Amino acid sequence: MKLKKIMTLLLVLVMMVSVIGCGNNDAGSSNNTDTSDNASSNGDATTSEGEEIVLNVWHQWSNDTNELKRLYDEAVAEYEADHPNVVINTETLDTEAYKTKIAAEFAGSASGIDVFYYWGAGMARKLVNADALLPLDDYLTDEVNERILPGSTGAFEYNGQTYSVPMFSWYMTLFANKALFDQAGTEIPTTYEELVTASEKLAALDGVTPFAAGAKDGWNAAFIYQALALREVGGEDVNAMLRGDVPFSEAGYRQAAEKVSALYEMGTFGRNPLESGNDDANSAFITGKAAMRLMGSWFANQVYTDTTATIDPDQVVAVNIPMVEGKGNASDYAGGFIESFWVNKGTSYPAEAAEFAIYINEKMGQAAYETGTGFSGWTGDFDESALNPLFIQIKELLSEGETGVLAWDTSLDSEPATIHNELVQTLFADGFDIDAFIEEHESAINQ
Amino acid sequence: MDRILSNKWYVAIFVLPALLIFLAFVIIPIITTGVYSLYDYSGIGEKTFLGFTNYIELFTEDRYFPDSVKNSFILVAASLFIQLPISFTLALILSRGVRGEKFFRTIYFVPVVISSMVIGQLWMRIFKSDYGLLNILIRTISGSDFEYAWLAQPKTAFYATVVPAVWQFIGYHMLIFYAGIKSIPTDYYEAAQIDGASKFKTTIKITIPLLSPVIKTCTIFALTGALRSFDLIYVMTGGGPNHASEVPSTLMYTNLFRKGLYGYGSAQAFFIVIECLLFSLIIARIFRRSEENASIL
Repeated sequence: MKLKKIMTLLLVLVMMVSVIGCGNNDAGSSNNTDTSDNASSNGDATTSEGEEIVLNVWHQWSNDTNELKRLYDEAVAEYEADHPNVVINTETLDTEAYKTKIAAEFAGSASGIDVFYYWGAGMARKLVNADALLPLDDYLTDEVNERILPGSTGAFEYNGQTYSVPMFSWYMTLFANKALFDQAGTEIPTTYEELVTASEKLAALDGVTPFAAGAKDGWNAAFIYQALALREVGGEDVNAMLRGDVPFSEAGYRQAAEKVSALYEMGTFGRNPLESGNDDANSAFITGKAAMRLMGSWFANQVYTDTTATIDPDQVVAVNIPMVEGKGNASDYAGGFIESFWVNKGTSYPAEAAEFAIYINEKMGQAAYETGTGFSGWTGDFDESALNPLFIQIKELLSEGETGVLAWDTSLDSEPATIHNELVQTLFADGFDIDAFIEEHESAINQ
Repeated sequence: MDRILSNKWYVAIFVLPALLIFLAFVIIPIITTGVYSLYDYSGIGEKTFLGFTNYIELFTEDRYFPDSVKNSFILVAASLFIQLPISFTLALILSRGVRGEKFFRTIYFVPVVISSMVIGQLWMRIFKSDYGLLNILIRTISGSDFEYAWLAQPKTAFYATVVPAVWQFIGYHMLIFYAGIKSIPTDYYEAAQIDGASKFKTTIKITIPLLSPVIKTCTIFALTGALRSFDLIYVMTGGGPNHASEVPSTLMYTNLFRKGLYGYGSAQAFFIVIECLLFSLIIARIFRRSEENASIL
């Protein structure tokens, strides 16, 4: 009997220990509560020759139809071939889930991340302030620095230190379907007035939305507002506001809001612009259901390569954001260098992680340019044969650009950025309150 | 058996593993959340102690919180007064022994096991303003007059998300009721039949009272589930358009992961926990009398 009791007790103890042991690891990897001990892969930090180094790299190009994912995978394969002792372990999630995941990881110790894609300027600032990023100054040789395009590093430098290097830049472009414009008997707009006229004519076409807004996703709605604000206020002043040098107070911000709301009232964005998000709006444009789309230059590639597209890509024209008569500068543009790969300060292999981060940024910059997805932040001999005509048009527009304004939600801190993205959505619904719009922006930004 | 159960040490040891897990993954995170809610915290870096400021701000200054709580109560009402009665009726019918009883049991349970993401995507297609099933149906029946953008207009957005939320778990509650009904001894029904009671009277006087513990369980599940509801609403509307369909959990999500307000978001999370706890206690109280009656029988 006694033996039975002892055996029972032992069994219970064993079960307890194993369940707790397994349980903790599960919690550690699936959700980062502060109580769970991240018994992680951050074990030995020895990097002797020949020992296998595993780098955990995260990025947000999770969609298999995304060119950038394919290019990334190719670049990684090349790197692994050149560095036989390094294994790159890649994780992906799509944009919104990715941002959440990174936020959750860095609330803990982020031990599962060595190198990761992120946005610089205001978005990475909180990581820099929490000392979570590895400065790359020590790993940037003169040879590498020479290849970086001058003026492209602004979003990656904080407090005199460089935390990342540029990858590729984007340019906010108005994509117009010339075939639909011809059908409606109107011209592609260069000014706001022309935009209003064109929208009226396009709205008469059956089953066509003049302008696909994608306003269900806050950042899409924000693009449209920011574009008009850029024209009303001017690039320099918008940048000053985003830097915090001047308050959000110019009359131009109010006028831009009124213009967007007026366009909504006219039906330019369709009857329910808040119903469709980014993907729906993109889809509407490439299937000929929308005549205009204001998007980043990366969309040019999709027009040509997306298998679900039904329009003739050669009918698509890339133009600048329409001007507002008598205001702003034609050389202002929205866009810039904002995205890149960064290194987690807590990585076990800082040198290798830094080397890979610099490599992948350059590789993706080059690859993005060669496939017409973005403008490289690096100089070098690039193969321009595969550039699609739309991209070449955008390249022309960019060459005349002087002052670039990044997307506001990448420059501002996360709270005002989120509030801004939410507020711009009110422009695309009935009952828009302009005073509340301005007031809430002021209280969010002017802090 | 009695010897083991009467010895408190044995009871303690066998309960210990589950208790430890419960403490580690439920109690301690709740306490930690409660602690975080007293700070101003961005998720990474410094914490600043604020006391109850977050809660005061939540109840007095937050523009969307009162409406989100109202929305969650609407969902509770729909769950308790639409979902549970439907589940109960279905369970009654099925337990009476219709043809294909097993088949229907499985069919009704299928939505429960389908991922909420999938259900959200499905119902988004149904509610779409241009080619959604619902609008096509309306168009065929009564012309374009009653077509509507169910998910994109503030007036209907939340109610549109209530429909799949209620629909999804009907099978779940039905199964619980079904099991409860099946476990009632048939002697009572026979006795009632002999006394000349109608089917309806039998249901009211015998089935429902005896099912009291089961009804209590389902009520608590439905209620707390509705208060905590997140995934369907997030997938279908994201809390929009313009905060029309926010519930406390979607607001909390935005505050935590978009705005980086971990302290404030934790306050909202803690509020939801306390709210669920309070309601559960109230329900338990309400059902106590009838439970006692049921166990006597």
